[in-house]
Amino acid sequence: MSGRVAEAVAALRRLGPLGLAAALVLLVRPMDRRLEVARPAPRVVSAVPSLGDSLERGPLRGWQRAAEGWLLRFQPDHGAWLVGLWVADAGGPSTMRIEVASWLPGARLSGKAAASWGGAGPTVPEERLARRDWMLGGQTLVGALPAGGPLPRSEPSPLGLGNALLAGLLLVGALARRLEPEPAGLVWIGLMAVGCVGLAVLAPSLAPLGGRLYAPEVRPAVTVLAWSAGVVMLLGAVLFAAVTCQPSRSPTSLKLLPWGFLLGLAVGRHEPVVWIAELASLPVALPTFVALALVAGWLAGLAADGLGALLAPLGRLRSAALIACALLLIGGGGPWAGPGLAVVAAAASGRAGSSWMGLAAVAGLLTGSLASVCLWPASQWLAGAMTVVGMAVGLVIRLRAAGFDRAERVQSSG
Amino acid sequence: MSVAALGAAAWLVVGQGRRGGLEAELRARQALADVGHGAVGAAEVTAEGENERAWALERARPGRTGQALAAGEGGAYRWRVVFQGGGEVHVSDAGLLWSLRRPLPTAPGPDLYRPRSGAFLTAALARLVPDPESWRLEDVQTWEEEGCTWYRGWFVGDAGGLPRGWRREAEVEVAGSTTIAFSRHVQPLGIDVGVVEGRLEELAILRLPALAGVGLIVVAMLVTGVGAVVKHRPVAWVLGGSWALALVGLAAMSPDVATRWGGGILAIGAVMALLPAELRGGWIDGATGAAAGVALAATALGARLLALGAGAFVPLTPALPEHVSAWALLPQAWMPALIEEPILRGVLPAIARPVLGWWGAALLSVPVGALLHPLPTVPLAVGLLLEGAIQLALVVVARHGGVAAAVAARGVLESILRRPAYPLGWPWDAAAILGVIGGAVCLVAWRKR
Repeated sequence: MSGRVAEAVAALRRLGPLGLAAALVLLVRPMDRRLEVARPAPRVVSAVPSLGDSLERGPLRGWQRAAEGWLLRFQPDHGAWLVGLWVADAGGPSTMRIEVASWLPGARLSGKAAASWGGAGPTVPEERLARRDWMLGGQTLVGALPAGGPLPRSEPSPLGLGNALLAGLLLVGALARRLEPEPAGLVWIGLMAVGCVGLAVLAPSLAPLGGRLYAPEVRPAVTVLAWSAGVVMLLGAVLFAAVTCQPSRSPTSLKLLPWGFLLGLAVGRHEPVVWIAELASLPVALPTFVALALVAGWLAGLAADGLGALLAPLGRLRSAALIACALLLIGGGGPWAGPGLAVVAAAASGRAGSSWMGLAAVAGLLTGSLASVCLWPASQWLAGAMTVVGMAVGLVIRLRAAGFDRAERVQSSG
Repeated sequence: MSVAALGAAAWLVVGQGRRGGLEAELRARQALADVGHGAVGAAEVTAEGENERAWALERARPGRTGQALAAGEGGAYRWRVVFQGGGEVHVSDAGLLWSLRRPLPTAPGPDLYRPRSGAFLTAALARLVPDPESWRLEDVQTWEEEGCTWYRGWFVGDAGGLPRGWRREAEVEVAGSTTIAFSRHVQPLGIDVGVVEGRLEELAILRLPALAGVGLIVVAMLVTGVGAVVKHRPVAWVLGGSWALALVGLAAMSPDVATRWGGGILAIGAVMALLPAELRGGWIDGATGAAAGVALAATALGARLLALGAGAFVPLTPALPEHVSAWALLPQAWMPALIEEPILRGVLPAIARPVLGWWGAALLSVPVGALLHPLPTVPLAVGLLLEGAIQLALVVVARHGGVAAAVAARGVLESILRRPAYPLGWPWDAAAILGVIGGAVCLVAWRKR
């Protein structure tokens, strides 16, 4: 056997377990089909009826997932009303609600109109600024009436404790990096600059994700401005943190990165992050994914350093504690399983490799979630491309890391 | 310099404020007497108002004309007079009777002959409004209650002195044959009030990222501060504690302010304790800052008039406070100064200067501060620019005198700008220029030493 063939066989042998795991991850179908979304939000619009000539609906401003359907928000440029429309994934009639500014002339109901709402009985008007409320027995009929039915709300966030834990880990991580700084390089500052500046530039295009901010009386341009200002402010703070709390320079566990990507991919396919469909409906989905993976990966590394600092007093039991955390997240993490496992995997890599491992796991998580949630062709192609690129980068890194190891062994033996 | 600042502050403040408070009780007694009720006992007089309506009138009729309408026929600024022996009257700042309710007498007189009730209600209205010919009876309601017949007349008036498209309405209630209640309403043109309400809603949304920014700055300072404590760097516990105490004292003066800011007081105290000494400034810097605050206030008022003259809508009347007590102006003006200035002019440069330099870090505070308290202007950018210019000036003040100077300048500036929302009178004048007086005393004492 020639030397080259032998090297190739050795490389394949090294990559064998990784390839097997990748095949398993990709072949096993996700269990929960309820999270699957067949169409992106903008494409749903063409299927919903118009409101007729009497009311201008305005362009689609924002969207969010709610009760196995899309909740779409339309608003004209003047902002005097807001039209909410919920469309079920399974089809069927959509639900609509119009919220209007309280000062619109139509908000001053006559006594007869009020009586038709309240039935028989005395109706007493109460004059307010540009609006008339009616007292109907024990009830109040306010002047500014919404029209249409109640819209389903998005799932109430069960993330209160998770949010608090993550915020705490981030703070501890920042403290750990500031109090015990390790030699740092410029790579992560560059990557974070790309991620943060990229997301900041994309902020106006990401405004549909801030659909909850849209309100009657507020012009959509101002809502976009507020959203963009908030995003820029947050990213500025993250970039500042990236400059002042830098991760360690020497990545010691590069060969584990493909495993991190695979872990994220597996978790993403079985416990996907559900907001991925909202993100994938954006026209700028690809650059957003890349920038988001960089920023979220760095944050996962920061939280992992916090977790590592908290577990440091345990000494040798630290590994056992990390395994327990991982099992806990797999068993009952729910929507926190993906982000939580990314943090645990990054913490297992130690200070030296936490940010890289965080990036690999987060990239896998986003890719896996995209593949299992968004079923329309463009997203499936994107998920496929991201999987191939992620695995290829992982393989190259693994092979190069193995080469480095061999060279180090030769050097040390020589 | 301190004498000039004091003189300028007095010129800006004295004579400002809501009028009609002193005459309100007399006018209320007279109105109740007109409906046959002699008001008994002492009167409690409180100020009331609606910003949206006042600003909508200012938008429809720019400048002083709009302000006069808001104090008169617009009814945006009113005095509520409640008598111990019964009876409640609202009088506008200009002395116009706005509403009235008297106790139901034991013998309210014989019930009206129903077909004549309209004429009776119209005659009753004529005694309550100065221009009865402008009103027409629209509807009459009757019902039985308390053993007598009640009549409610609903009148609609023309626009009167109000802008075109606005409408006046009035209600008169009669029990038996005694006038019991009267109230008038103004229905603004939807566009006028819609623009103002819309701007207020928009500013509330724009304030969210600024508040998030302030929160992030405080968190960053606390992270940095823990590092400082661990590394045994000096921490000004006394200054932090006294800062928090000052905030508690101010909060106790105004219940609405206390509930709004109560949670942040400890964090602000901690922030002040951790602030590097070179950024704090001293007493003398504070005194100079107070003088700078007077100049800033004069410039801000001039800039508003300039923008108004250029065709923009800028409300000249400041936002009305929820409570008007004698010293309520102090917490309203100084709480933002004591809370926001240390964060924007102290903490931000403290944590960001290693990366951006002092100026770079301090200039970051300008957009954050500009989004916190802008005016509801048309176009909206004018309000943001005016507030941004004030923030920029405060950055310059902080560069020369540290946080102390910025706090003093901001406190004096807010005191002078907010003064017209309070009643006419020396207690509010004194509260408005208290910061300048304190600054002058400090400067004189320093000179003597």
